[in-house]
Amino acid sequence: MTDPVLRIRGLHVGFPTDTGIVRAVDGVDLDVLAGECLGVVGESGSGKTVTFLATLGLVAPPGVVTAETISWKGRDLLKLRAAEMRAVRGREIALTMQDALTALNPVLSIGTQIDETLAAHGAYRSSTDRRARAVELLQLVGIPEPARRLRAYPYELSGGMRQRAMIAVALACGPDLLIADEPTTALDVTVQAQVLELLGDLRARLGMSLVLVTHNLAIVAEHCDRVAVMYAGQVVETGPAVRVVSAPRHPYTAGLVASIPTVDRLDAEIVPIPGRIPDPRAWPTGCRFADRCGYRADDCATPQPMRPATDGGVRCCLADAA
Amino acid sequence: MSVETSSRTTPAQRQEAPSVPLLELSSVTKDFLIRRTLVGSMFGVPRRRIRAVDSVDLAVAPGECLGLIGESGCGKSTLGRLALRLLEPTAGTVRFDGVDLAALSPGALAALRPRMQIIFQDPYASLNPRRNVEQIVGLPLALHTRLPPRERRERVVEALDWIGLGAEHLHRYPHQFSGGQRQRIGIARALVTHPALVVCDEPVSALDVSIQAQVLALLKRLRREFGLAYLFISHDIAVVAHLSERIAVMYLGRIVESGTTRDIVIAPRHPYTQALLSAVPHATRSTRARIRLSGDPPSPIDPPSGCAFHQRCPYAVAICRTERPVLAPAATGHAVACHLAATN
Repeated sequence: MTDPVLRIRGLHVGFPTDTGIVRAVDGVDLDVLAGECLGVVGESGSGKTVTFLATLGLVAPPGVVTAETISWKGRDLLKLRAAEMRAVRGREIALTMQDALTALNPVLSIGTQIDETLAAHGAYRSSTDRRARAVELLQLVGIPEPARRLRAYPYELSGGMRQRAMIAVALACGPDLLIADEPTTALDVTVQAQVLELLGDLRARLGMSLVLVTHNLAIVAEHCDRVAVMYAGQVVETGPAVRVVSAPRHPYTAGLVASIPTVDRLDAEIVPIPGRIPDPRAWPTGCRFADRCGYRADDCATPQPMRPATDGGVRCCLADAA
Repeated sequence: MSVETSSRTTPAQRQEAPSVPLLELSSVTKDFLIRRTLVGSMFGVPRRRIRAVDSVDLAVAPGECLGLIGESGCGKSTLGRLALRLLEPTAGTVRFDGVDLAALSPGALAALRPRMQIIFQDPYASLNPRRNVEQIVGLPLALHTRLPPRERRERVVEALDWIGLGAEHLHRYPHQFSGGQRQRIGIARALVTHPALVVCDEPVSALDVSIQAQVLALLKRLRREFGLAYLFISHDIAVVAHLSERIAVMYLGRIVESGTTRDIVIAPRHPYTQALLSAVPHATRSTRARIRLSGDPPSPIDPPSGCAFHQRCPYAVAICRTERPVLAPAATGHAVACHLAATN
């Protein structure tokens, strides 16, 4: 197996509030391998977005980020100076946000926003070159009539086209890793399928790694090589995407799978996970999923370490290690 | 007026003849006028029209769930609002319980409102942030009944109980709740008047898969308990199939296929329905053949000639570009508007 390009160990992110510290990310270990598509799955509040904001140094004070290491191609991102971090961010690791309408600047045309990114990273000296690159990028993400669309403003584009435009901005400097945070949540299923296919296609053509942050395991099963399932600020299961979805080992993963509406079997009931994610200001000391879990036993009251297996790991004392 | 609904009869107990649909839309059309530019209005340029809904026939039986699916902009939300007469149709009739809604006086229409309610898509935008739960859920009762405050509060607490909240939540505000809980509050507001019909306009598409599953299970249970009829609008055919007995597929303002859920999901005949089905991500790798739609739906301002779907259809032939297919029902009730489906 190849060495990971991104290696996160012991990542903690806390946000002090009047009522206590919200420990949004609480001991996350993650690897992203070269050229792979990693799915990061979990419900709202599981810490998946904050994990990657912290990786990119985008957690603003009073948020506190600590980690044993966040290593990008052998460099520790935590030790970089602000200017060095800016050179990594956008050029080597790019991020697309969930809502393209709020992520894109509404008063600048798409072309200007791509040009801005290229100019900020000093990628092309002349504005003619930058314009040519912008046209090339819009073409790459499948926007028809790219030269004309450079002048379009975000509001003039449909949801799917806007998502494509944001991906074009993110890809402007040819990153080695693209983190796509919920790229399809606001979209119709038909457009969702188009955007996911585009991302997979771009990963293969550009030879980059892709992290797909989503709450839908079905998307992971279709588009990712590996998956990390997050719950309550921790990774609770990792493994090959198809195996994790077809034979989940953590009860939470199993619950997520049972929540997916399917058209394959009409008689299949959707079985929701009862209850809610616990309070992030006071995570339980034992298994964080225990009070929603149908298999709870006495051992669950003790802290659950990640149990490594041959093809990943699981944070559950009841899962039989394979 | 017969708006006093304090008796605890549920719609299921109010036996209706099964032959009379609870909701019936006949040839319903809705045009919207597009705003002219100032120069255009000075020079008398005629205002252009968008036909959002085009000659739609639909019926929902008492206690039935009809799923309505289609992409953004196909007119499905407009249709939902027409069904409740929150919008007036340009042509066609909407009957609720056999009564033509257009023939009713404003007072008589208001008297019907408690029996036809709506749940909205966005749990953040659809609850007034400055009202507490008691005011939000109690509003339909305040509008439509003359219940004294104490009984009104009892009814609100009862409705909160249905959705898994309690009296301790009465004085909280929307911002104190999660997205899933807010959507539940919207459901309680719709059900507090004991409606017979609820239009569910994308009620779960803003929610995480896990929360979506909880809300779907809740909607299913409440429907069974109260004998509710749903017009369930969504862009996700898997969500719709989970709840509905019948499904209608909408494209650019028209119904292009309708039938039982089994017909639509197992044996879809319209290429558009087939494409919608193959867009659903599968947890288990599926053997179903992929049909990927390219591009976005065409603009209703300038609809294509012939079949509205022909530009995106992988099977389009000459006739599809010139002649619009009609919705042809088969003996089984499975209807499809496609030139090619009719021949094979």
